[in-house]
Amino acid sequence: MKHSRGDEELARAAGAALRDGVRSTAAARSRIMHAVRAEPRPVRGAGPEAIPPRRDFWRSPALGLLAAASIAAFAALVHARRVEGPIAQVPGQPAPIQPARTRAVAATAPAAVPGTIAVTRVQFVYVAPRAKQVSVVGDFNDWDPGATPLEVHGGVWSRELEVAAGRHDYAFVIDGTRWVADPSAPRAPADEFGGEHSVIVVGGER
Amino acid sequence: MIRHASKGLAAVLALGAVKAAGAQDMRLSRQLDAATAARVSAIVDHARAVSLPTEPLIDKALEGSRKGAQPARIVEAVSALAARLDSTRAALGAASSESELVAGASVLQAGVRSGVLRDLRVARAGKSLAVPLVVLGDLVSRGVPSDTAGALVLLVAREGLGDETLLAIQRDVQRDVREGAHPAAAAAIRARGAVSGGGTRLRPVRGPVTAGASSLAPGVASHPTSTKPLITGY
Repeated sequence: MKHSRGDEELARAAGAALRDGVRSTAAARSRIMHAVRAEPRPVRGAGPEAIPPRRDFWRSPALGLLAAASIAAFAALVHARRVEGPIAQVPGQPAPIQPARTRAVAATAPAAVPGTIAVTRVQFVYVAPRAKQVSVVGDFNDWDPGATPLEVHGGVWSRELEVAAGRHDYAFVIDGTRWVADPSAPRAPADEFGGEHSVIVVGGER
Repeated sequence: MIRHASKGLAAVLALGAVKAAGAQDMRLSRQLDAATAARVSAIVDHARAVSLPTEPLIDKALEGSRKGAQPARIVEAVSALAARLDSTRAALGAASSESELVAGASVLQAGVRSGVLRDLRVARAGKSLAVPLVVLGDLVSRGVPSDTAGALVLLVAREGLGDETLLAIQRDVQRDVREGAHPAAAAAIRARGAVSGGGTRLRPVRGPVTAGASSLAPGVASHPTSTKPLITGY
């Protein structure tokens, strides 16, 4: 939007007039300050017009703990996201199918109540921008590549599963054919069937 | 009259139990051909009879099937796993959890001696060995000789360091190896650093670690930071 020279002059003149309007003399300023000092000072908690007493939010232990827990949880979340960091490309792979992070909240899971099976929500994540399909297989889904497809958002495949407490073997299956271990998790030693897979120990281990 | 009824009920229950023991798991029937399913079921039944966990055996058969393994190989793998579970239980004790038995069977397959399992049980009496055995299996799978890996995990366990420290060592060794470190040297440095540092976490080893006495000197890679792993769980 372009302003004409006339507009600018008008604005300048208006500004000068407004500034002139708030000018005061030294005598006027002195009278004002004298009147202010003559007013009684407000006292905390004295009467309905008084300034309300300062409320110490953290004085309540419950609220303080809640706030501390929230801050800690937020910090942990930020930290968890930060440690995932940039995911490097797997050397030697033709397609940029990259290592993934599998997060398990297993370590903090409560122990199982006797007579029940403890389950924990575990998030499986694999980054494969060019994959058409990624699924997770393991002893928790009978190693069925069709049972648990991951959902993709911007090349990041993920899904949360409820996994029973204990040790579990798992792997990712890329495009229905290629079985890969989770590069960010402990690996299981090679078995009779070849291929690598990873291991997770979910809390409340049985 | 009541006595006859009780006998009859006991007979029915016994018959049911026998039938249940002999019943083939539906997952095996669906996934394997009839002959293979029957052979696997026989192994599973035997394992059940001697109180070994059966679910890992079924999982192994299903895994083989999904990976397209030949039937004979599937039966062989299930049979071998049953034997390893038995050996692991002998080493760790009858009260071992299923997770411990499976993890132990896995490291036995990787070449770890059963004596290491026994020593680990003693070193961590009353605590689960699932994580130490998983870490041990991971170290071996990354190229650390099984004897070395066993000795290092045992060293950490004897110092009373917990699962989090072991997982931190595993992650550090994984990163070191990925960056070009020699697996055995990386594992030795990380384990010794954790032990010598007490509640310290290790400073990442930069660049390749070479094997040798000097690189294994205590404190080479130790650094006083947090013992907590970077990621909770794994």
